[in-house]
Amino acid sequence: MILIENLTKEFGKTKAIDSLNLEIKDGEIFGFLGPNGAGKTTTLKIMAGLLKPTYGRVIINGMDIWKEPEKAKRIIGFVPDRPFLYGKLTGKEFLQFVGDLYEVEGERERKIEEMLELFDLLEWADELIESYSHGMKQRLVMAGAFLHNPSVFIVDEPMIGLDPIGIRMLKNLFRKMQEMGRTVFMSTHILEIAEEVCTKIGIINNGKLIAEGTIDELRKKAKTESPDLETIFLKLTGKEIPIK
Amino acid sequence: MIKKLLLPLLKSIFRKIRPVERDDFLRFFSILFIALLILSVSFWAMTKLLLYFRSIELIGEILTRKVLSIIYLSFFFVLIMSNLITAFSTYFFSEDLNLIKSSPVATYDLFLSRFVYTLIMSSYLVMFFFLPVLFSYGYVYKASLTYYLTSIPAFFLFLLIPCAIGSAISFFLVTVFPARKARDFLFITAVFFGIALYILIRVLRPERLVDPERFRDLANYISSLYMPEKFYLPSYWLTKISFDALSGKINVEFLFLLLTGSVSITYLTMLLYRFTDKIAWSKAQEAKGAPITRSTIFNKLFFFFLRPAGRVFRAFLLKDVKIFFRDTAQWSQIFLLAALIAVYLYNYYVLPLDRLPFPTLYMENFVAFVNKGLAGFVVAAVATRFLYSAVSLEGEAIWVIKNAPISPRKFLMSKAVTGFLPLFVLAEILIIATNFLLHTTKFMMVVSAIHIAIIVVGLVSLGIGIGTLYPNFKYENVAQIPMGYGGFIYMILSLLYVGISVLLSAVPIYTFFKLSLNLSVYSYQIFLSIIFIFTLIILHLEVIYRFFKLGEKAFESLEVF
Repeated sequence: MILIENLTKEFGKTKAIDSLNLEIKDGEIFGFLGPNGAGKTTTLKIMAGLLKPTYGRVIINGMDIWKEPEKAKRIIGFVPDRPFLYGKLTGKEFLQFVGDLYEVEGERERKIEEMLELFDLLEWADELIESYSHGMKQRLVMAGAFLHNPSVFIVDEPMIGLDPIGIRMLKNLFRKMQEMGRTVFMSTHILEIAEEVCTKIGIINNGKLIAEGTIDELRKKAKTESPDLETIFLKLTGKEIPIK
Repeated sequence: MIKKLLLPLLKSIFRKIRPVERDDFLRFFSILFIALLILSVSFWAMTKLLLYFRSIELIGEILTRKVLSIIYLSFFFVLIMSNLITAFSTYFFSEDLNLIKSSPVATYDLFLSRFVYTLIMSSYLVMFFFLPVLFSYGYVYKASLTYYLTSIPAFFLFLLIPCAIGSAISFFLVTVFPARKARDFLFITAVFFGIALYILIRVLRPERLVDPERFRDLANYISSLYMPEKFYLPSYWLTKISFDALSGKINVEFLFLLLTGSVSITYLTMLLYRFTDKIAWSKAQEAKGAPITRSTIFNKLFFFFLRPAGRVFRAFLLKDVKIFFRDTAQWSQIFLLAALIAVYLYNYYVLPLDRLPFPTLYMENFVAFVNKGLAGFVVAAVATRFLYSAVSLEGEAIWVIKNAPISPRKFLMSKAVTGFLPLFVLAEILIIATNFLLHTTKFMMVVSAIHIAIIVVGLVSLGIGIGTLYPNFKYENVAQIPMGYGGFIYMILSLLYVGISVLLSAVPIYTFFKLSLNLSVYSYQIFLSIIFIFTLIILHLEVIYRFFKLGEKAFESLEVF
């Protein structure tokens, strides 16, 4: 379970996140939507322990990410929006390194092979990461995030750079995680995917949570009959584009 | 259009140095203060040297001219190398190039904007050190305004030439090799070039120029001063212009030569850019998938020997070792270290201790004591390049570490051990080999070896602490990391630390050295020695503990944007 309490992040005089409160239960796939610069990536980075909140806290399965970072991070799988990796390691070496950091128990090598196969990287496993395309790096980061079998996934724009096969595979993977009672917290710009995969959606604008709930609940809040998430999103964020 | 292309680049430089917040002001003014201090000290030292040379009859003028010619010659070669390295980034690897290349920008406009940017980025340090040279000569020769009005524009024209040469070589290399391999090739060439130059200068021993007694007769000495000065070198033209201007004479011929030379070489480089740009640019996008060596035996041995160290620690170590040996810019520096050790030891080998009017045993041990400090300074300089950079070397992949369930202590400890081992070996080679060459006593040998080992631990802790406090994860070139504010602070603190530690050890070493030779010492000397030893222990413990702790805290609160 993820609990976000009164989360605020200030960069100088700018408030990137303003008193954010959220509760995501086990087995939920939570879609975090918002326009550019709304505060999505900042929220996810705080949840992953990469940024420190100015106020408030993030509790992952009962552990405060900044007070008990090592324990909390052990159960998190994080995928950032930009896959910066060690260019001079091979894909397989990177996964071995991650496996050691998370002290993956059991047959580490077998798990790595499985991940490489799942993310269609087996053929490239022994090539240096610097020769990978953006999509391949993204898949490698995901393989690293899934390797230690975490119970909470925090993923920032996971579909960017993936081909249709990759997107389909990831959607199935998220559903499988949900069935296993894992929690997924995902930020995305692709509303169709949020609509299709997420069990609950939160919309953030200018650092504030403006709506939260299932698609039906959001529709009611937006006071629209439109069935698609795009219209609901535009209405709630006040960014409706006039059609001439 | 050139202005439009250049403005964003210049703005980014300006924003980097412009103070905004309180901390920035503190940083800005401390750097300004240190810069002014360096300028003043350089000016003072240069003036002293020139005044001394000028006071020597017959050859004074030749010597001052020689010094200026050597300075400009070294500026010239240093500038070619630094322009060459910068040119790779500015013409081929900058992130904004994709956008600019897809815009309707004329090739000449792009070239000129990048040329100016390369010139600024590669030459600002040389421009900085040109100031004390310019003013000390002006001051010593009581030069008129003509000197400054001639030398300054001439110097700026001079800067264009190495920039054009460096840029042209980079175009050629990228056209012939894929850019990444060209860069690797360049790094190795640069390192070997540097080593060769360094060894050559040391073996020639320029210090002999100020020691005429070493030559058989005066004529021999003077003739040695007339080392070949190449007419075709721009540094020679600049020396001629500046030196003539010192006596108020404007050397029109050489000014014209410098002007036409710099403009025409810039123009030729522009033509070369136009000619090679398309091929070079597309080659720069290739060169991926470089071959690597994978040794299973190495991995097995590594795991066998490091089994007791623990899994996480071993993983960090293995990753760092692999990356180090796969990155040409990093491993090629081992050769520089080897050359450094060779030249260092050679200097001690040729030291004429037997010709000094002091007892040899006393002198040898005194030099061994001083050597400890010098070796400490050398290790501090090497640590700035290798150890201070250790945390920053994680680059933008730092999120992997920060997001992992690893305590800052584990991570930093792995960096400390990886950094300690090579530094320790380097320091002990420098100390033991020189003491061996100096025939020091066993006492001195053991004390020096232990003391330098403790100093290395302190330097490692300092490097980890300051390196984590001022990380630079967004570097384009590893050499950029120690060039920042943190690197500067580390250099100053480590030199202070080595200096204080060696000074504090002077009294106890002297006292116990005498005791080891069964010579009498006063009881107050023993008392003082004990006090100094205690102070020394506290200093080392404080540095080792405080700075590692500082690093831990800095990593704990590190934010990854």
